[in-house]
Amino acid sequence: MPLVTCHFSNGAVYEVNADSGRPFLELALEQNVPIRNQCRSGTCLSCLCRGDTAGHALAPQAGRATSLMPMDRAEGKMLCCASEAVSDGALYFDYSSEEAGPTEVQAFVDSIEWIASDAVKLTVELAEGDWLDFRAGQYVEISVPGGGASRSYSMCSAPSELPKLEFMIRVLKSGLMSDYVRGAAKLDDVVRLRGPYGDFAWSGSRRHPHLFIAGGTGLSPICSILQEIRETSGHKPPLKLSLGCASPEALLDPSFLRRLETWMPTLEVNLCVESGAQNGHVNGNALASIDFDALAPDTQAYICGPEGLINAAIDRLLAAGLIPENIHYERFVASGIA
Amino acid sequence: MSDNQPVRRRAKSGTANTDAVQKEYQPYVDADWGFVNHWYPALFSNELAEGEVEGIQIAGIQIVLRRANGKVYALKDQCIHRGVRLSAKPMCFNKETISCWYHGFTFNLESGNLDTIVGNPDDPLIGNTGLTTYPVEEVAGLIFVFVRADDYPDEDVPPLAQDFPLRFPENSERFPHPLWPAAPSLLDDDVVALGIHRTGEANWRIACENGFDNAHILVHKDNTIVQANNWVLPLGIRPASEDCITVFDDAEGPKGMMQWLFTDRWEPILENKALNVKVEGLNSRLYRTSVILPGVLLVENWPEEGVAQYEWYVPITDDTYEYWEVLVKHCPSDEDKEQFSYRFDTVYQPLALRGFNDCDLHAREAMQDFYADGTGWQREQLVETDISAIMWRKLASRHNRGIAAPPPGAQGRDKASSIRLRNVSEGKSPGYFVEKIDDLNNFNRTSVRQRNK
Ligand SMILES: Cc1cc2nc3c(=O)[nH]c(=O)nc-3n(C[C@H](O)[C@H](O)[C@H](O)COP(=O)(O)OP(=O)(O)OC[C@H]3O[C@@H](n4cnc5c(N)ncnc54)[C@H](O)[C@@H]3O)c2cc1C
Ligand code: FES
Ligand code: FES
Ligand SMILES: [Fe+2]
Repeated sequence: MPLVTCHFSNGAVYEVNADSGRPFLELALEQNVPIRNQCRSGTCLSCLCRGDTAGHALAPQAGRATSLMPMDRAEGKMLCCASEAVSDGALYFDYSSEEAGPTEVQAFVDSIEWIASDAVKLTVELAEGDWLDFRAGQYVEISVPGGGASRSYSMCSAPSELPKLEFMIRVLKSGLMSDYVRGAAKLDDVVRLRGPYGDFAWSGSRRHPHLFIAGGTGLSPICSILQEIRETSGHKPPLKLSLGCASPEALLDPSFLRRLETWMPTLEVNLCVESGAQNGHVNGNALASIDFDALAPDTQAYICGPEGLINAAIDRLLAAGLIPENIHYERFVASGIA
Repeated sequence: MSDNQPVRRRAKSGTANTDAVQKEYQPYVDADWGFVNHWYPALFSNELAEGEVEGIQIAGIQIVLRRANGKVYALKDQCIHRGVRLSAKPMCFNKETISCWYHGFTFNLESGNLDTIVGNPDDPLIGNTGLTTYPVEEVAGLIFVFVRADDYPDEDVPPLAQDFPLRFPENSERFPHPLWPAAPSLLDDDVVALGIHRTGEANWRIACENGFDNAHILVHKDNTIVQANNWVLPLGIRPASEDCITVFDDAEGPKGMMQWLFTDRWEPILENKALNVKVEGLNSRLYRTSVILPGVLLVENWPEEGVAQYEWYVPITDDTYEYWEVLVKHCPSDEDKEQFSYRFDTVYQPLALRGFNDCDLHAREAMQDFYADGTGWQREQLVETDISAIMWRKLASRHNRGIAAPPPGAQGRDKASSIRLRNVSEGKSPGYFVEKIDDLNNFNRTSVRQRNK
């Protein structure tokens, strides 16, 4: 049986054991090779590839018309859906085997808005011609203007808001990004973004209750996920969000969270503060508002924030009977430590 | 990545505005093209006879309807092949499918699947793709369609009653109406529904908010029906109590709000001293309005005893809506039916649905330019009587099942397309129905130049 290797632009290589007689595309898809396709009849050119100059692994299937022209064939171009494997060899695809690999883009600062005593919301817009697809919950590396170094930040906006991206950034007493957003940053500054990264994302389950635990700016990816759920068609599951911050003044954008709560009938938001609790606040960290004994065991949990909070939350959730697969988390490791 | 000199994109960021108050109902402001995943009236039953096909557009989504063996089916009216509207030149080979008149892609009415291609029955695409289908219900002579996003799951489709006004008398205790009998519902037995629908040139929200705006009673003063009945309307009605409006949003019920008109919770205004205007001998028709998602109005006890008026403001595009006015009455006997129908033709249609409500169409159109570019939502300066509109906006922001996106490749998205401009120049305004091809041999639309010798 011929052995055909498929090379993608990102360097990924897949091997296909290819029986003759059947269209190569079908065999490759069965073996999970991400070859693009649509018509599967030799027309649309989606499954186009280039053969090895040394020899031809594929040959057109007899009696099939395709939209390849003689000069295409002379260049070694082939259509996977209308060809069969005839010998060992290599095929080259001029696209990446991954749907949205990390890219680097430029963006303009639209606004920097204080949303708590020690945090800002940074809003940027991708430059003309630049694009960066992401899944709610993912993050990008932002290169700090003038500083050269990069810091990681999770988007708090939903992918549907592209080309606009929003970030919640905690402003430390001193730090590279912290100093930038507090001082030099201004409208129309250009920032470089690289990403997306991370697999902290919504599972897509709409039948199980959800619990979101956020410490500080750990709220950011959770906001994005909540908005993704809001935009999803069909019934929404019960959603609980517990946000923990140091003090009432440090609570992140509580008015936005209250609005989200009114726009999402199945969402309940609890605000926790370590000190100075006022009306409606729960005293303690983000775990303080959660009744772990009452958690349904099929709860889907999403945790984001500092290391200590994540570890404590995982322990409590496992003890409450959740299975590890249903516990999703993202650690905001301080730069230089990871 | 763009070169060293990145270029500002400045995407139009929706109609988003920065005003803190308006952000409270931002989802409503974002719903230029309407709400999806709701039930909307599509046609009167008599507009779709057995075997017929019709094409309409709701919330930007083009929909083709066909009646086969009595049952109405609705599918996306945008062929997956090259985007042609199936309804423009209906072609059906049997009772189970509808075919696209261009290359014969043939779709199953029930499932939407691509069952075959007329002239290419072995193509590998067959069976692997299809059109979105829309659940259909037919009640009291109206065809309702559940207009949904392509990925809205079948099992989550709510019953029609969830998008219908409250029913009486089952809600008479909660919302007493001592001054008139229980309003008939389209869902009751023995009801007859008579009405009209037509296209209005305004955004659907402008139209909807006009429907239950208590302060605009002024525009109706000169209407024939008012004068003929010697009704004496107040100058206005202002909210006089905290509980002048009650929101109802039971989990399994309709989501809407009831205005307690003609109770002491609303005060009729009889005099304006600054203008030296006074109303004597108030003699208004007693009625009450409630509005529910996705934009349905119930006017109880209107225009006469025993009748209720239902209205829908169905978004077509972001600047047109289909205005439905339907009168409902219990008519147990044939004689009742005949009488209702006679009165509909001679009084209700000309004086109420046309005369009285035509005045509303003027008012909606008059507001349209102010809101069309999105700035109106920021610039409007509201007063206490606008409490109804704001409550509705918040309610709609919370309970809508989805905000319609500007529809890819659908008519009306591009306001200056050559076809739209030609239609306008021919005197055809953008509307609700598909433009059917009535003579394939005749493309009588452009001037022909020829050389024959
Ligand atoms: C995957 C990922 C996602 C992240 N997402 C976000 C996000 O959405 N929002 C956000 O605000 N941050 C997020 N972070 C953290 C962020 O990347 C930076 O580490 C943080 O903003 C500090 O950057 P800085 O340039 O201001 O300070 P730096 O110049 O990096 O640090 C200055 C000093 O402060 C210390 N320090 C760093 N972080 C903290 C901290 N949290 N508390 C106390 N001291 C600290 C450093 O060790 C150093 O001594 C994320 C990190 C990761 C790994
Ligand atoms: S899939 Fe269309 S040409 Fe192969
Ligand atoms: S466009 Fe419908 S079959 Fe080709
Ligand atoms: Fe009116």
